[in-house]
Order: sequence, then structure tokens, then C-alpha cells
Amino acid sequence: MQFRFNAWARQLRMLVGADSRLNVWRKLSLITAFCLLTIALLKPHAELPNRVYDWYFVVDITQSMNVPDYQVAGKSISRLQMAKQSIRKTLSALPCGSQVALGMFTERNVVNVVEPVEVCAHFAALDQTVASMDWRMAWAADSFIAHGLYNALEQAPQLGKQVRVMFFTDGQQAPPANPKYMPTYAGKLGDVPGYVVGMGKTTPSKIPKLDEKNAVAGYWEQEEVQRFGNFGMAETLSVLAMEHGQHDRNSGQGPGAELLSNAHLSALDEQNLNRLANATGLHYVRLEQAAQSSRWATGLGMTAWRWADTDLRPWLAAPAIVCGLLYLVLTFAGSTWYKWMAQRWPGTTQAMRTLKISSKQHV
Amino acid sequence: MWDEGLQTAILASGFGEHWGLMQLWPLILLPLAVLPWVLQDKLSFSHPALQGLPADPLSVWLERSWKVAASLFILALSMALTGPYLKSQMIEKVGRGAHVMIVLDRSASMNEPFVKKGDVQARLPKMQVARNVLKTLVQQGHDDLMGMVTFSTSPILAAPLGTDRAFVQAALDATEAGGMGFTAVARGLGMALDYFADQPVTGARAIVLVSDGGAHLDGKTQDMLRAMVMRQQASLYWIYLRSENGVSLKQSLGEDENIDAYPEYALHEYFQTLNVPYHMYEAENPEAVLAAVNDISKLKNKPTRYLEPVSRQDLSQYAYAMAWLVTAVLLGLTGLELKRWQT
Repeated sequence: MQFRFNAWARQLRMLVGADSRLNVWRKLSLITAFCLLTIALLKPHAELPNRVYDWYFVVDITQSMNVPDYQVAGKSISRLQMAKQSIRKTLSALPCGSQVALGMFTERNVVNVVEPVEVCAHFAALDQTVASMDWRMAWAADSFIAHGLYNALEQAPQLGKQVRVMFFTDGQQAPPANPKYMPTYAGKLGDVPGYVVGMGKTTPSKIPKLDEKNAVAGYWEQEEVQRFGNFGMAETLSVLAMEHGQHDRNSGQGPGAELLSNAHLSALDEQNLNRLANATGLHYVRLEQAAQSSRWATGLGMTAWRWADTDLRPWLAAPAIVCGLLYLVLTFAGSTWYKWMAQRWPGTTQAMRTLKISSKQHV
Repeated sequence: MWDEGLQTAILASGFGEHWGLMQLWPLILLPLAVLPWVLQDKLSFSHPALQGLPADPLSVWLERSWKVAASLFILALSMALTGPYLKSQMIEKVGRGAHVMIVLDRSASMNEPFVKKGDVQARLPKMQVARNVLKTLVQQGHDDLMGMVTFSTSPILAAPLGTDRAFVQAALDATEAGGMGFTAVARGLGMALDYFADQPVTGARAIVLVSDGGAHLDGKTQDMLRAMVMRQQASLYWIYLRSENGVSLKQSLGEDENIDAYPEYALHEYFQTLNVPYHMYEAENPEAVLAAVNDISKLKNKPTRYLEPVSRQDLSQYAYAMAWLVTAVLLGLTGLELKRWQT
């Protein structure tokens, strides 16, 4: 063993030439850096456990999402466009190896457009599919957010074990629903992590009616929207109670029901979304800038560790830069800077001094 | 004020919009690049009278290039570690083969089996049969560009026209019959035809309609669709998944039958008047559909150039190449150093 080491050392000495110990170290560090970078040029990569993110993006494509209450660079854009933009930004922010599935929501259910696919290899198709999402793809005009959200959460485990859900909606329930007849979340709280992303402003705006060519043809009026708040069995069956002003069965059309008189307007219903988020264990967040969602998507707690193709070059570059710095420091081993260091920390520079002494002896 | 200036600078440079960095921490290594310039007194030999030595311009230049190389080494490697990349680039690709848009019926009736009686094998839902058939179609044509539109009441783009087969497969996996009972054939076809609109006609274009029933198209829609099909010069393949009690399109209707009672038949007649190649495959059973698949995979096309977006284009390899180059220069320069006084 000893012999082999000696032979190795001799060969190395031949390589760097007969030199001082300091110079040997100097050249060695440079040669090491060179070797590491040469390997890096070959683009080494390997399957390593990697931080990836699996997302199921669901977009509400009901008509209230057409409300243009976002401002980007002086132009107003609709909630739907904003949601699409932020998904597209997120797609390019996700690391390779992540998987993305897409879905759209109207009425009471979510249609899964595409099953999870790897984000880098299928970027083009994913990007175009998101870009093509349109309110005209809606198959019905109702919007029961709770049903839709629960439906998406039911689908998620079938799409993949580590799939998280990001649900873009303004929370606008149309027509207004009777809370007694809303479904309850059947899954376990927090089983599927993810976000409910609130779109739009909290101040109500008119919902545009768009024609087939996406031009605004008018706005939904109060008379045109369904405003029956209550259906099903009335709790009060006594005529006496009804005569005394309690009329829950017909209260939807009764005067003074403020929620219902504003049913033709749409605003971000944070209260509803917060409640839904609490019921399902999702996080409620409000989207104000398109870039925000990529931060949420790659946030802590959303990680799925999986074996994925990993670039090894940074692992070579980091030691290479250390070697390069060592080379620099050793080059200036005789400088005033070194003397100053030696005064400050005599201990740490001890090693270098011994190197230097030996180098002087050689010179 | 500084904050504002910085923000405008970042906005103007397009950071986050057009390019980005995978890691930010290596940026703190950048200032180290000044080290070769600020550090003085390299390893030297003592000499009694430096004034006596002649000035050596070559050595001065070697010294400068050494400093430049050492600086560049640190700059290049820290830039490489940050992992810069360009966002949403378009790359040019060459496509051969036909352009095939699949138009798949997703209406509720697709959940029913071909026949109501018989063993489990025979009672596969039509949707599953259609899915299996389309999967073989997607697997076969290697050079074809493919895309898919599904429709029930409204059309949904499931996969854009492109070379990404795995994506079409994933979209096919995701299809399940749902939606409402309506079959908006015209809108589905319209959306599929729209995808041909942006591209030059380079050869065979095919629309593969997979549906189990027809729908009545009014005169206006008929004319619009006819104009679209003519303009895009797409041939039409209709794989008609006929139910047990459905009408056969191969026989002509009897004299006394009212054509309006058979929307499939009306649609079939309409398609024949489109003045584009039209083929109808009536599939009473899963095997019969394979004939259609074989015909479609025979379509050929001229090679076409088209642009396809890619997620990100890695720029770090340039930084690595740069670092490698300057390391080589540094090695060379170090080799030129004097080891002892030479006379």
C-alpha cells in the first residue's frame, strides 16, 4: 500500500514538475478544477431522489370568471385569463420530473382533461391546452363550487398518490344554494393538500355576456338570473308562523334578501372559499399577481420526493470553484494581505506558513 | 428610491418574464471575481535590483490575461451554478405525416355497451371501445401530428395538434363519458378545424369523428361547416359506433321513413355533400373499427416546419464551457511561470 502511494506521488510530481510544496498544491487544485469541469462538459445526469411537485390544476370556467377585474399593465383582463396565465407561469416554474394534470369545472363536476404528464417533456402540449381553456367549453351554466371542489378532491388520489390540487375559482355560487342541501366533504381532512385560489376582487362587478366570438354583448341583469335561494322542505310548516313573517320556503323571492338581489353581480366570495378550505384542509389564498401561484406550487409541504433525472453539473461546479479559490489564495500566499491575516489569526494561517517556509527553502 | 430603481431594472431586463435563475445564492460568489485584481504581491523571487531588469511587455500582458482569466473563472462558475434559463422559447421542428384531429363524442350515451346482452367482453361500454381503438391509432402513425377534441354539449380541446403522442394518450386516459346527453357534433368539428387554420396546407389533413349518434344541424350551421371543411381541405373519417338498435347507415332508408327521425342518417347524407373525401366506418363490434385505423395511418404528408414552445432553454452550458476554457488558459499560464531564476 505504502509502495503504491509512493509511486502515485512520484507520478504526480512528474506531472507538476519538481516544485515547492505550495506550488504543487496550487497546480493540483487547478488541475482538479480542470478535471471536474471537463466532466461537467459531458452533462452528467443521474436518477436521484428529487424534489418534484405533482399538481392537478382545476379552473372554474363558469361565466362569472369572465369578469374583467384584474389590471395588468393598464389593461383589464378577466379572472379566467389571469388563472390561465398563472398556470402557464407555474408550468415553466415547476422542476422537470413534476407531473401536471388539468381539469375544468362548471356546474357540479370537474372534467379531467388530461391525466398527469411530465411537465418538461410535455410542456408544449400542456401550455397550449391551458391557453385554449375557454368559458365556451362549459357544458352547463350553473356553478356549485362545493360540489366541484369535492369532486376535484375525489379525483386527485386516482390521478396519483402525491397529487395536490390547485383550484382556481371566484367562489361565486350560482344560483344561490340552500346551505341545508349542500354536500359535506366525505374525505379525510387534509388528505389531499393544495390550494383554493381566490380570483377577482371583493367588490361586486357585473358579469359580461359574451357572444360566440368573445365580444361583450351585454351584462347579466337581475331579472335574468335564477334567484331561488331555498328549495326543498320548509322548516316552518305552521301557517301562523308564516303569517308572522317567517317564510323560509319562499324567502328567496322575498324582499330584503340582499344576497339574492345581487345574484347578477359577481365578487370574490372569500367567506365561502375560506369555509370550503377549512372543511377540506386546503389552504385558501388570494391571487393578485400571476406569478404568485408558481411560488405556492413550489412551496414547502407541496413537495413530492421521487426518483427523477437530476443534473449533476452543480455538484461538480461547487468543488471546482472551491479549488479555483484555493488556487488564487495560494498564488497570493506572499502578499501583504496574507501577512495581515497572519497577524489576525495566527492559528488558521499556520498551515499556510509551513507551506510557505518550505517553498522558501526550495527557492 | 433604490428599491424602485432596482425594480425598474429587473422589469426592463425581463427577469422572471423571459428568463430566470434556478438558484439565487451563487450570486454572492460574484464579488469574489475582483480578488485577482485587488490582491497584490504574488509569489516572487527576491532580486537585489529590480530597476536593473529590462521591462518585459510580454510578461505584463501575460499577467493581465492571467487576471482576466482568474476573474472569468469565478464569474463563469457562479453564473453556471445559478442555472440561468430562457423561458417559453419557441423551437423549430420538422413534421412529417398527416395532420390528424380526433373528435371524440363524450356524451352520456357513450357509456352504453354495443349490445345489451352477452358476456362481459361484449358488453364493453362504447366509450371504452372507442378509447382502445383510438389508442391503437395514436400508437401507429409515427410521423403524424395528432390532436384531440372531445365534445358533449360543448367542445373541449384535450390535446393540441402536435407530435406529443404521450399527451394524446394521457388525454385519452382522462376521457370518460359525462356531460349531458346532447351531441354538439358541429361545434366539435368546428373546433378541430380551427386547429388547421393557422397552418399551411402541406398535405393530408384528417378529421376523425368518433361518435355513436348524429345530431341535427340547421341550415346555417351546415353552410358554415361546409365552408370551413372546404377551406381547410380536410378529409373526414366518421367512426360510427352503432348501437344495437341504432340505424345502419349502409342501407338506404325506406320510402316511407322520415329522415328527420334518424339524425345519424341525416348527418351521413350531409357529410357526403361536403365535397371532401369522406369515409364512414360503421362499427357494430370492436374489431370492425380497426379497418378505419389502418386507413388513416396510411395518410402521408410533405415535411413541414412549425414552431413548438419548450418549457425552458438551459443556458448554463455556455457558462460551463467558458469556465472550462479559462481553466485551460490558467493551466497554460501557470505552466509558463518561472520556477527558478534563469539566466
